[in-house]
Formats: sequence, structure tokens, C-alpha cells
Amino acid sequence: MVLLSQIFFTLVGLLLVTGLYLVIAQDNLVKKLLGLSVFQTAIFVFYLAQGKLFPGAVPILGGEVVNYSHPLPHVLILTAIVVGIATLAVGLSLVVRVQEELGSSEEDEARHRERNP
Amino acid sequence: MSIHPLLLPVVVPALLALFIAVTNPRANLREGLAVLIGIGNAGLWLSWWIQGVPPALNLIQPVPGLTLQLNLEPLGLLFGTVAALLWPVTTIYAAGYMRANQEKNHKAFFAAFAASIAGAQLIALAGDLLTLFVGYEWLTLATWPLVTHKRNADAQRGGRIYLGFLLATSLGLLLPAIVATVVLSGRADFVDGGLLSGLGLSTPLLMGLFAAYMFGTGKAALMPVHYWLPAAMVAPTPVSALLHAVAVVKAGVFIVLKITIYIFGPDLLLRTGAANPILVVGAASLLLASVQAWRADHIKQRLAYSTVSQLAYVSVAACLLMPQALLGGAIQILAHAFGKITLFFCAGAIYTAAHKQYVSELDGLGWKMPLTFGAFLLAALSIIGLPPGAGSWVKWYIAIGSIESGHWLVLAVLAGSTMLNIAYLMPIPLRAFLGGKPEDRSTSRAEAPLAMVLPLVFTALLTVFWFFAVGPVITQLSTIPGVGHD
Amino acid sequence: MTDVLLIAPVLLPMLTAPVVVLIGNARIGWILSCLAAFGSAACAWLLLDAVAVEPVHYHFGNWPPPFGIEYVLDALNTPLLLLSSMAAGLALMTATPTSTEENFANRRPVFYALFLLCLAGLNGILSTGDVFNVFVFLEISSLTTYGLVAAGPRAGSALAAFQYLVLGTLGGSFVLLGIGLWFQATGSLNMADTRELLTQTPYAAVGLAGTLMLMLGFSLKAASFPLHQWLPSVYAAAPWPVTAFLAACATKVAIYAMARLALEVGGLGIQGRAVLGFVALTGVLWGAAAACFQRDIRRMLAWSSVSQLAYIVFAFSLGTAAGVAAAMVQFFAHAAIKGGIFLTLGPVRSFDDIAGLRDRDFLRTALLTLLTLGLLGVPLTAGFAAKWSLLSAALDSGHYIALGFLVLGSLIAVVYCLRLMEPVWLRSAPEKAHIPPLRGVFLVPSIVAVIAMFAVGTSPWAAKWGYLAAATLGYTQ
Repeated sequence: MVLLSQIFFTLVGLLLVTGLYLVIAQDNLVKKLLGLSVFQTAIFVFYLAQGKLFPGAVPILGGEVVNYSHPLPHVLILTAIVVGIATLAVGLSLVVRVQEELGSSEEDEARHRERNP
Repeated sequence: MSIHPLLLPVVVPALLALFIAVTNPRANLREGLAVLIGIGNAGLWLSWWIQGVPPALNLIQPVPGLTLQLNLEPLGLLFGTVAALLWPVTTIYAAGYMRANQEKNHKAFFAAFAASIAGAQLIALAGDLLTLFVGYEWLTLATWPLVTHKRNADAQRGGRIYLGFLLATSLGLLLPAIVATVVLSGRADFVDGGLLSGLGLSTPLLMGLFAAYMFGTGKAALMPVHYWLPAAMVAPTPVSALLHAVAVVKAGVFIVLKITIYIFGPDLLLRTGAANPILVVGAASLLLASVQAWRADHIKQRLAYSTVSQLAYVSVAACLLMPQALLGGAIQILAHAFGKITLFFCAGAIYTAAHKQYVSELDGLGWKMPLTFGAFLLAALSIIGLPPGAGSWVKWYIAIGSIESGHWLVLAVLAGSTMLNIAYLMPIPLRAFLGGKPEDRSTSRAEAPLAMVLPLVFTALLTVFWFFAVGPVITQLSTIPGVGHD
Repeated sequence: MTDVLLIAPVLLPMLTAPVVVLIGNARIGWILSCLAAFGSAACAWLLLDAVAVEPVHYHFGNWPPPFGIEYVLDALNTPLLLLSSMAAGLALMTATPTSTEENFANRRPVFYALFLLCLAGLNGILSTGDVFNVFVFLEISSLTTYGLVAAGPRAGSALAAFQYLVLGTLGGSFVLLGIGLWFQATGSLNMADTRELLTQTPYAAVGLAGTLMLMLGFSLKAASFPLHQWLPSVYAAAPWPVTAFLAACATKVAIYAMARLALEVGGLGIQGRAVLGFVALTGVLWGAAAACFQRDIRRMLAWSSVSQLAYIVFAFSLGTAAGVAAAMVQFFAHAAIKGGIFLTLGPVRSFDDIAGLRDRDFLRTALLTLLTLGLLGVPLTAGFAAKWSLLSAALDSGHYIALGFLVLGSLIAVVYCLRLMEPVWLRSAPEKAHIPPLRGVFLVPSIVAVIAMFAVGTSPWAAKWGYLAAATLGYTQ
């Protein structure tokens, strides 16, 4: 059990770092957003992982169930996913505007054009 | 509705400044009003000498536990009266100067002028460190538009140095020193015998705190924070007169005395020797500035360094801590104010009438401007400390103080500085009257406008007047514990 | 009655926002938005008396904590609620329906709605007593802020908004991660409950990791040195009512959240506080020094904000009652001064725009000068009150080196204040000025800011609330 959760959390750590790397290293704005999504997803996984028990049933009373999985992380992450989608949407629409206004969706080039119109 | 009399010297000039800035009245109305209010203000201060000072007044409480208060004591009364007496005189002079030299933007000039006086008088009236600091910063900021009046690159540079030095020293040293005082003692008001005495503070701490106060009061122009003073010479001459004689530098040395007497207390400083490092700095400053003045050819520059040197007399007097020395330092506020303002008035008159700015150009000019150079001679005597100038009393009392405290080196410095005073001040009237070829000495009069000559003659005569009338001042100052004839 | 007042600062702007969009009329939307913001401020004001005595609670759906979500208003967040709502109202006043400043001037109701939602988000962060709620409101305020920044008139405003979005989302995600770690350690989301449990949990390391993550996240949102890089470009790109609003309270709310969660709930230890304080002091100097070299007024003021915000972080890091009081005074001082300066400058962006301002726009010159004096920390202004309480708080707890840093920071501030004042007072006016004079409705917020600045500077009101807040946080005087 401990091993499993350690595997899970290692995975979460890997995803986090991957996402962060993408955000920092990528010059393309869309790729940055993808990195951001990976980063956020890692946190979602982290939440969900701590709610799940083996063996653990759906948290509905009844039967001879002894262990229930914790429902709260799922609820929280539902909210966080919505926030994540909204962020992604706003981010993408901003990329469209950057492309329209500055003619590029590469960060360095866009910044260069902004300073030297 | 009645207004507390202690508020008047602050509120009325401030309102005058606001009135001038907002409504922009016609020139004659503006300057007439300023002179009238100035005379009324001076009358108010003089009436306090006769009738006694009004009771203290508590103002607001800006931070928990600390109340701003106005409380007039003899030292403040002296400084406030000096500022109040010289304000209308300088206003008349400034009106003449600004018109004769076709300076621009009189509105801002006279508004800032009145605001500066309000700040100076707030310093005089301050009953606690916080109020004192309010007035100090007010004065710094209100004089900035005056220093930068010409709005050219030179003025901008002078303004930067002026504001930079005064704000840096006040925010960097004075304010922390005040905060430390409040944290240590829990209060901020001025106490007879010293707020910090009796707290059992260690000598290094006292030494550091005293140094922070002395250097933090940048307006007192102790070397090396004197640098702003010559730089502020880019201002029109009436401003130089205001800055270097009436308001700014006198506020500085006033604070030096006030801190020494009421925050530390002479006894505490004497016992711990915490003032000795500053005594050395002050003596060095006194001598070095005299040398610099002697080397300067530009008249205003020479007068500026002379001011630095004369201010150091007060700092030295404060650090000698002897009752007689403190008395001498306090009289210096009066004597130097009238002497130096006359010298600046003369410099401005010479510039206006003859467009001369350097000592070496003055040969024979005395016969054209006898009143101006006559006044210069009288004022110079006072600054040097020769009778019948009021400055004689200053040198006398500080010399006695240095003998009493056994600081013979200080006595030597005083003597040396007096020699230098003669060497840099006397050449100006001497060249004017005796220099050049006799045939060049035309006797046709070419004085500056009357509005400029009258004030300078008036202040020159007053330097002689104070020589004879210093009695009431000494009586008043001697009521402070630890100051005066034993 | 108290219940209504308690939730109104969040619900009022949140519910007004869709109404404004649905009505679709710019003028009505503008008036409604201002009313909603000022209404929230009034509610916070009315609550002040009650929270001075003891914290006021509101349980949503009558679920008792720690199971349900609760709002807790105490002496720390209620004054800030007043501050944020007032700042929003005043900033909205200058975003008139006829202004041409914003990029999407043809969709003004949307702009107002975003503004209101941003306010609702900030007020939510301030009001809530639930950790996860903080994250939700944080994201509400952030998402709307991205939109508001992107409404700026410059071509680069979308890029600035995007960069802010990336960093802001990273910050928000770190907050989420921190909350998750806390949840792992305690199993609770209620602040008071979490605070208790974190001291007892066997997984103290997990709790500490959560605290650090929260600190990291909020530092990003608060533009706290060294995570401040987004701030200057955002301030420069946004429409000026938005810049003023962000400068006045958005970053401060994040600092509040950091203080409340990381310092109070998380109980950051003495070493953590020392590190935080030292980093903040570095930020004081760094921000002030960088401000001196900017060529754009807004960037200069933004860097000054980095420095001024670091003062607040430092004050909180002291962990004394005097420190909390100093933080509270600086909250109000900086909001009034910096917000006021941005509102008074209005569309001004370059130093050339204010050259010779004294000759052509006396009112703006006077207001700007007074506010700059406040920034400088001249006595009787709020800036001085803040500096005084900060210096005495530092001395009180024996931080002599910190005193040196603070003093040095205020000396560097002289330089950038002078950079603002020299063009105004000493340069001559250009041939034709394209910045219209400050008149009419645009004057009101600046005047209110100046009055607020002097009110905070001349009365111990803010410090009094600071000490009350310190008492609720458990610090004794």
C-alpha cells in the first residue's frame, strides 16, 4: 500500500516538474499553456490519490463495507478542474489576441515586436 | 471661535501661501499683504517677550501614544522672533530684487516664501520631537521651489543636492534617532534637564544617538553634510538670504541646541563625554569652512562657506555644554541672522546695481554704493565679533565656555577662525572703498533700488542695536536650566 | 442583520455583475457597479463596530464548522474589506462610460462585470474562513484580472495579461498544492480547525510543506520579491482604473492571505519568519533601486510598489503586535497613496506627459504633489505614519540591521519621488499637451485618496485596528 502511494506521489512529482519545465522552457505561448495544464493536472492527481483507499468503496452507506474512499478530494478537484478549464480558455483567447496584435505567438518575438512597433 | 495664539504664526503664513498660490493676486496686493502680515506676525512674537508666552497646546495624535504639541520656551521664542522680524524685511527686499532683475513666476516665489516661514515658525513652536520633525520636513520641501526657482539645469542640479542632502540626513539619521528616542523613553517631548537623562543609557549608545541627531540635522551644516549649502546658491539672492540667515540654517542650529539641552541634557553629556566626538567635528568644520570661504572669489560662495563656519560655532557651543557657551550659541542665532542677512542683501544689491559677482571685481565700487558697502562693513564687524556688532557677545561667551571646560584647543580654533573671518570678510569693503585707482572712484551714486537698500541698512543698524540691547535676550535665555550666567 | 452585512461584500458585487451584463447599457452599468462597490464598503464599515469586540461568523447553509463553509470577519480582514471595496468604487468611478482608455470600449458592461467579479473574488479571499474557498476566490479574482489587464490600450496588453496568467496560474496551483498537503496532514479545510490540527498532527513535515507551498503561491500573487517580475509590465499595460485598483488592493489581499494562512494558520516558525523578513528587506531595496532606473512612469511606480509591499511582508514577519499594526497602517497608506497617484496620473504614461504640469493643470499638480509627499513619507501623511510604526516595530524587537535596510529603502525612495516631481515642477510644458486636465468626476477619487492619506497620517485609526487585529491573531502588546 505504502509502495503504491509512493509510486503515485513520485508520478505526481514528475508531472509537476514536467509541467513547470514546459512553462519555463517553451517559447511558444500555446505550449506554455499546455505545460501549465500538465502542472495543474499533476495537482489534481495528487488530490485524487489521497482520497482513494484500497480496498475502499464508493462512499454510499450500506452493505458490509468497512472502508470508504474519501469523497471530499473529488469534489474539490471538480472545482479545480473547472477553474483549470476557464484558465485555459482565457489563456488561449489571449494567445489569439497576441497573434492578432503582434503577429506572433512566440513569446520572444511578440515581446520584440511590442517594443519596436 | 477663538484660535489659540500659538497657532497663528503657523496658520497665517500658510494661509497666505495658499491664498497667493490659488488666487494669484496682483503684485502690489500680494507683496503689500505679505509685508503687513509679516509685521503683524513680528508684533505678535515681540508681544510674547513682554507679556510672557501663551500656554502649551496639544494638537493631534498621529501615532498611538504620541501627541503633537506646541510649546514655546525661551530658545524657541528667540528663534521664532528672529524669523518673524526678518520675514517682512526680506519680503520688501525680495519685491525689489525680483522686479529689478526681471525674475519670472513671482506667484510661486512668494507663496513658497510664506510657506517656508510657516515651517520655520513651526520648528520654533514645536513642543516635541515629532512636531519638530514635521516643521523640519515642511521647511525643507517648501524651500525646494525657491532653490530651483530659475528652473534651468543649474537650478535643477542645485535642487537635487539641496533636497538630496537634507532629506537623506533627516530621513536617514534624524528620524531613526527620534524613533529610537521614543522607543527608549516612551515619549517625545522636550524636558528640562534632558529626556534621556536618568534612563541609564550606555555611553556608546548615547554617543551614536547624539551623532545621529547632529548629522541628521543637515540644516545645521556640520561638515561633511554642509555640502548642500554652497550648492543651494543657485537660488535668487533673497532666497539665499532666507535660507542662510533666517529660516533654514537657523532652524538647524536651533534644533542642535534644543536637542542638546532638552533631549540629552548638558549634565548627561558632560558626565558621559558623549558629545566630544562632535566637538572635534564641529571645531574642524569651523576652521575648514573659514579656510574655504577665504579661498572663494565668488561673493555668495564666500558668504555660504562663512555661514557653514558660523553655524559650527553653535555646534561647538552645544558640545562644550557649559552654561556660558550654550548662551553664546543661542545668541549666535540672533547675531548671525542679522549679520549674515545684511551681507546677502548687500551681495544681491551689488549684483542688481553693478552686475558684479566676484570679490576681485569690486575695486572702487564703494564710492558708487556707499550705503551698501557701509552696511556690509557693519555686518562684517558683527560676524567677525568686533564691537559694535552683536556677534561680539557670541565670541565672548563661547570663549568663556571653552576656558571653563578646559578645552584650550577650542579656544585656539576660535581665535584662528576670527583671524580668517577678518581675512575673508574685510577685503570686500576695503577693496570697494580703497581698491583701484583713485581717479576711477566716481562719486556718482548708483545704488540698487530703494526697496533693496532700505532693508539692508535697517538690518545693518539692527546688528549694532543688538550689541547694546542683548540684555533682555540673555535674561530670557538664562531661565533655561543649564544656560546663562552660572 | 449582521449576517446580511457579513456576506454582502462578496455577494453584492458578484450578483451585480450579471445584472450589468444583462442590462447592457454602459451608463446604467457604470452607476450600478459603483453603487455595488460602495455598498460593499458601507457594509464593511457597518461591521467594524461589531468585529472590534469579537470575530463575527457566518455558517453557510447552517452547517457548523469544520464541516461547512464559514465566513469569519475579524479586526484584521474587515478594515481590509473596507479598503478593497472603497478602492474598487473609486477606481470604477474613473472608468466612465465615455472613456476611450480601454481596448474594448464597445463592450463596457463586460468590463464593469469583470471589475465587480474581481472585487467579489478579493472580498471572498478576505472574508472566508475556509482554506479551499480561498483558492476558489483567488482564481475568480485572478481570471477576471487577466481580462481587465488585457483590456489595456496598448498592443502589448494581451501579452502582459498572458504572462500574468501563466505566473498567476502557477501561483494559484501552488496554493492548491499547499491546501492539498494541509488536507493530507489534517483532513480539514476550516482555517481555525486546521490551525489546531496542524499543531497536533503526526505529519508535521507534510503540514510544513503545505505552508511553504502556500507561501510560494501567495508570494507570486502578491508580487513579493523575488517573484515580482510580472508586476511592472501588468501595471504598465492595464487600463489605468485597473492599474489603480490592482495597486491599491489586489496584491495586498494576497499578502493578507499569506499572513493569514502561512503565518497564522500554518504557524511558520521563527526561522521561517526570519528568512521571510530578510527576503522582504532585500525586496525593499531592490524594488526601490529598480524604480530609479525606469523610463516609464507606471513601471517606476510599479517597482516602487514592489518595494512598498515588501514593507508589509517584513512587518508581518516580525511576529509582534507592533508589526501587525505597522502592516495595517502600511496597507492603508500604500493603498491611498499609490492608488491615488495612479488615479491622479490617469492616462499619463511617460515623463514627457507631465513635463511642466504646474503651468497647465494646477489641480492635478497639487494632488499629485501631495500624494508624492505621502510616498516620500513626509510627516502628517499616511506614508510617515507607516514608516514610523514600521521603524519603531523593528527597533522594538531589536532588529537594528533591519532598521538600516528600511531607512536605506526610504532614502532611495527620495530619488524616484524626485524623478516624479522634477518634470512636474521644473521642466517647461511641451507645445501641445495631449493629456486632458483632471476635471469633474475624475477629480473625486484623487481628492478622496488625498483626504484618506492625511486622515490615516494624522490619526491613530489604522494603528488601532492593527493592534486589534494583532489581538485576534493572538499577539500581545
